[in-house]
Amino acid sequence: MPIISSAFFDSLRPQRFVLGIIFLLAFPLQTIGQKSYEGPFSRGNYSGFAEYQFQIIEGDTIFDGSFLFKEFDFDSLLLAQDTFHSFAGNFRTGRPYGSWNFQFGNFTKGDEIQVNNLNYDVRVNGLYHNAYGELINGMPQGYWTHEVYYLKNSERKDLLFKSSINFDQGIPQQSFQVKDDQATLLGRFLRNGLAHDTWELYSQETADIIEKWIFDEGMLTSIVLLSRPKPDTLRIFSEDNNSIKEVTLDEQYIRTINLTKDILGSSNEIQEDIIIKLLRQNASYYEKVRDVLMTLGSSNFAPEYKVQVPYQPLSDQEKVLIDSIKLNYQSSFLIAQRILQNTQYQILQLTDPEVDFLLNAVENHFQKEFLTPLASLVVNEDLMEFLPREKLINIFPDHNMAKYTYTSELDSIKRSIDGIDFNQFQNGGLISIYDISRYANETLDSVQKRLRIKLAAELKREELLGLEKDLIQEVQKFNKKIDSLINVPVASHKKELKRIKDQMTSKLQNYTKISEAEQKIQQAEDLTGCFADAWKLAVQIDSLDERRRILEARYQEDVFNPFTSTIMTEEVKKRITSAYFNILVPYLLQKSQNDLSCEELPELTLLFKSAYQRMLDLKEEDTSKLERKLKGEDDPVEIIELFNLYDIVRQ
Amino acid sequence: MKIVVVILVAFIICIGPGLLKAQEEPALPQETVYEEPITQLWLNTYGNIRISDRFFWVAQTHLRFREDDQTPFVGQVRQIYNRHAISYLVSKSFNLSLGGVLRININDDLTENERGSVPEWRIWHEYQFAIPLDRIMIYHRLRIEHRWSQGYAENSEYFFRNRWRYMFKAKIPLNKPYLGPGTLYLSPEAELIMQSGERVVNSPMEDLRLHTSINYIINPRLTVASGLMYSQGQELINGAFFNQRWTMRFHIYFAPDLRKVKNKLPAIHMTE
Repeated sequence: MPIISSAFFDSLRPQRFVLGIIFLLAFPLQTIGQKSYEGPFSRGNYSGFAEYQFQIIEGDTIFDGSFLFKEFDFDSLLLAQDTFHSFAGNFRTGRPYGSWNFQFGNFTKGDEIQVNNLNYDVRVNGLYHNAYGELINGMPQGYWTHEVYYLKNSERKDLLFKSSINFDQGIPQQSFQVKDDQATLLGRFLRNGLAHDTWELYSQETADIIEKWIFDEGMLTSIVLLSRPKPDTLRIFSEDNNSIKEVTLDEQYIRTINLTKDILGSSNEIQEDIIIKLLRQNASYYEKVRDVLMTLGSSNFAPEYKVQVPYQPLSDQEKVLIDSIKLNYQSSFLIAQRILQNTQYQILQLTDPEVDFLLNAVENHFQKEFLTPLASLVVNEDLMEFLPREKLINIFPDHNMAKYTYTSELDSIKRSIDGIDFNQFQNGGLISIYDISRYANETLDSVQKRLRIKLAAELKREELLGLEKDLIQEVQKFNKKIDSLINVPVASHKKELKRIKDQMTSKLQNYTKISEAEQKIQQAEDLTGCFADAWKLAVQIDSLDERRRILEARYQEDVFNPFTSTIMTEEVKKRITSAYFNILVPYLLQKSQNDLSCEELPELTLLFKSAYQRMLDLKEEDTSKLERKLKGEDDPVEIIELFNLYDIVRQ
Repeated sequence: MKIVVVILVAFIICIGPGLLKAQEEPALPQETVYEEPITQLWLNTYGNIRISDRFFWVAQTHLRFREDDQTPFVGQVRQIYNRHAISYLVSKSFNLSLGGVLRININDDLTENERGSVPEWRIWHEYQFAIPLDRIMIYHRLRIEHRWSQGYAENSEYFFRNRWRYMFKAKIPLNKPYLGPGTLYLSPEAELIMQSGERVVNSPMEDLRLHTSINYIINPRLTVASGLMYSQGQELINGAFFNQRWTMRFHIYFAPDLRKVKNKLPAIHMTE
């Protein structure tokens, strides 16, 4: 049969010809605009090496085709550890499509290294997370598995986590399994993604059911705990008269469960619920993959586990109350923090029993009984609509917050703060919470005020102590020194020095009689300086004899006596020396014996000093005028004037 | 010390011949005759005025009293002395002086044809050695005087004599360790005065003075003293007769420094 006949070719008209061309081109159509890239690549926190195909559409690089993004660093591995990842999959015009595989690893060098065919084969130890499944338009489709292993020499040794969930366009369907090394959770979703039926948790060891979560059309009605010595059923959500909201089974939902448990008084277990732990782990691994896809431009990956919760919208009044509670809590929290972190209070605590009591009250009563429960409400403010508000007051563990009593070791006196009688609260809702928060705030504020007063007094006392310490030191120094002057066998001016010592002693006695704190602080300071000044004066007085010797020697001149043929020394400028020794010095000495005030001491010291200095200078100066003026002068004040001492003092 | 020996020897050599000269002999009694002691009182001022670093002006004025019939010690004024000289300070230990004296002798026994007072003139030179001994000072004073005296009678003629004097003095501080202002000191002195000349026949020893005084130094420029002197000596006319005197002496010593202040040395700087 002539298949290809001229008739066939004749039947081809120009329009069919074009169609044919297009048809021929259709297949390679995909390949014509497609480019590929191979080389270094980084997106988000990941950087490494990628091989992918892409298209340029309107100037942007759009992933299209196969995609592989790897990262590993051999040198890091050898040195310490390497962070490994490998993402492989397919894109269709920028959207992930098809099978995808995400591998994450945190490896260290294994124990075995082999050489095969001149290829170095290095094994690794470490954590390995492997996630795989199908994506349609970036959404999970079909079974998605996350496995986390601990590798030993690149062999899967311990299974740490595995979750297996079936999706239809991102909505979880039917049964799923989440397990770790301790327990396995088997659960169910309805076609619309709502959690349903009884979710059971099996122990890995015993294969017994440990826990059951019972869902009714997505609402978690109760949790049954079977592993306790006494099996327990906790009521969680109920319809009652509230409306229902459909929410995602996410962290917020988990928090809601926990908080509802607390409020309903259903749980005082510290131990974390294992199901919640598994759900959280699962969420975190899905989150990891989601992050990767987001950096690659796709944000549809979030699985939509659905649940239903009773929902009661907040009224305006309730919103206001919540804000007020928040403010009260924050203020109380800050006050408590400040009080407990203040090192000065901590030091004061060691000596003051009232401070000890107050700090203990803040830590053990207010923080534990008030602030921690309030915090759980404030932190979970976003869950308010889902919580049974009439029962909110149950977040306070002791319904009858009894009196807080504390006996300080320092004085063995029992002190107490009155508790709150919960019977006074009509309703258990936000108004009561608000009252409690306000009470906590006001009480903490007054505690703070009291502590501040104590601290101020303590600081004052410390300041005074510090000053008194200095004062005592100065006094002891002074007494020691002045005694050393007085007790020397050939001491001069013993009487005068003793008198000065007595004066200072009486000043000190007057000081100890002061009771008012502010004045005492001032006096302590002044007195410290006073003792130092008094010592300086004592030094001047003690040196009078020595100075006398020096001046007498200075005011001598050698004269040759032709009658005896000897050189004699005679005293010169007798008027000056006698004015100094006989009038001026005794006058100053007399002054030192009177009761001197602290201000007068330096002046007197200076007079002694400058008089001596002047005498040293006058020997060499032309003093004929001065000597004339000194004739018959016996007024010491006048002599001071003539010697120009006040000029020095005034300076 | 060498210079002391030299001058002493020279002194003896000078004196010697004078002493050996024999004169006409007056009537000599068998034994020495000591006359009755006479009491005197002297008021002396001694000035030693410093006019330069090494030169001093010796200015002495003495008032000498003698007993009379009614009054001992101060009965009559006998002599008024004026001794002046220039003194040269060679060192602390040695000084020389050269000067003159005018002494007015007052006649106690005024008769006719006698003057009430007669002057006596001298030229003198002196060599003084000061020897410090720990705390006491010792002085050797050699004084040579050339003297023109005359009698009271009208138209008396001057007769010339040489006087050779050696004094040994000590100054002993009493209340203080050293001689200085406020020191009270004891000053014993012994002076031998020899004379020679035409008229000196057999009385070479003019005077032997033994004097002790208590001195008080008020300040380096002023000292006061009072003492008692016993002296004896041969009468000029007849060497057998020794006169004796007890003299109370009251002295003021003054030594102002007339140099300009800025030229004053604090002490004499010597190489000793």
